[in-house]
Amino acid sequence: MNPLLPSHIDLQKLREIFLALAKRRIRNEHDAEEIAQEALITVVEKFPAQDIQKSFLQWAFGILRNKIGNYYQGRDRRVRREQGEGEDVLARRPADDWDPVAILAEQELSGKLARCWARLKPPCRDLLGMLYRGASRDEIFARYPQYHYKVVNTKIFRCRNYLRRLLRQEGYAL
Amino acid sequence: MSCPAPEWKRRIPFYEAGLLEPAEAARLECHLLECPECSLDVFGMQPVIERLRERDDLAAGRAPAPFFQRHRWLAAAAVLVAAAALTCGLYLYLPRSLPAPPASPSADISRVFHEVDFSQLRPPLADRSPLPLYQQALQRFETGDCRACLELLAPVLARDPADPASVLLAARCRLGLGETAGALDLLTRCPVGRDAVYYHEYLWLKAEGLLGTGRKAEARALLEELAGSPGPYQAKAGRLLELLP
Repeated sequence: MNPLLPSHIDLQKLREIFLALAKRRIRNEHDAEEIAQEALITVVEKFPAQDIQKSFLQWAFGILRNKIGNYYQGRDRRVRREQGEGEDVLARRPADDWDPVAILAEQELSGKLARCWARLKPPCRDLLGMLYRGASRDEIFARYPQYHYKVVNTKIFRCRNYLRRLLRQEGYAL
Repeated sequence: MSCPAPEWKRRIPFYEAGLLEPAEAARLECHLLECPECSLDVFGMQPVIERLRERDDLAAGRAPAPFFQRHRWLAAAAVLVAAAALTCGLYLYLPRSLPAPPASPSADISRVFHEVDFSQLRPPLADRSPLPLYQQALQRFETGDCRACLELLAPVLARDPADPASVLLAARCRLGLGETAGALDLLTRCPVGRDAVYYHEYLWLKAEGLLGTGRKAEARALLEELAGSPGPYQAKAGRLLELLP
């Protein structure tokens, strides 16, 4: 075990969360457990791979997401080998299969996000834009001097939730 | 499945943006480890945020807002100042640029009353009383000093309150000073007989007093009487009757 891991991180709880998240993405429970375990090992081995003092879990979730993506890419490669190169893999996937590849497909998400972003109201775009482009909290609060900071917090929270709702309407499973 | 600590849920956006202090972020991560709902929220939004950070139009979110958007009170003040300036400008400009509004009936009535040609009065004002005080008061009246005229007439009226020449001149002064009720009171206390040479003048002044106090019906009766009698007030009384509503 990596002694440098943040003291507040309980590996057992992290494993449970990884497993819960993996099960939401991978239908096969055995595969999900395997992926969660792999991700946990990678987290313990690689930490601290970069400056992640402020958001360890985000970094850890990123590793899990990569593992899930690799899992589906490997499965698609297997299907291609079995069915032959050049065939439409997505079309061959069983109908009852949950479609995480489509969810994780970069282009598809980008397109959905572009549509949702355009549907957001300008104040929401402004707030989320500031938030995710690295503006400090002081900068964000200074942008809205007429509001108490708690009001700004609430606005950010609601805007983010609205974006999530729009993405869900577009078919992006969060 | 619902989050047992919604107060932490509200901090997730700042956590995702890396804006929480390390201690606060650690507490939130403790919560995330125990709350699958919030973890799934963060997990699901992670690729979205990455895509958002790649978008160029997000840079617009970093640009400072327009000046008046950041200082809305200044914008409100600017609007108020502009409105005040516009109002002042209109106030100063419009009276010169727009044609004068049509005269109101009351203004016409007032003008007709002040068009009295004293030279046509019978007898002329100067010949009405030989008293030196009356003559001095008349001089003051002709120079427009009604107040001084009234002061000079006061001892005359005290000695002879019914002297028609002094009463009518005092009434003229009071009407000139805008003391309509005082003039009417004076004329009522000292009526002039129908056969007196001042009678038409008395009716005219009383009609003016009655109109000034809003008693139009009584004034109309006096003016009708004047309009039916030949004299210097006949034509004016007829005009006034046309103007009266």
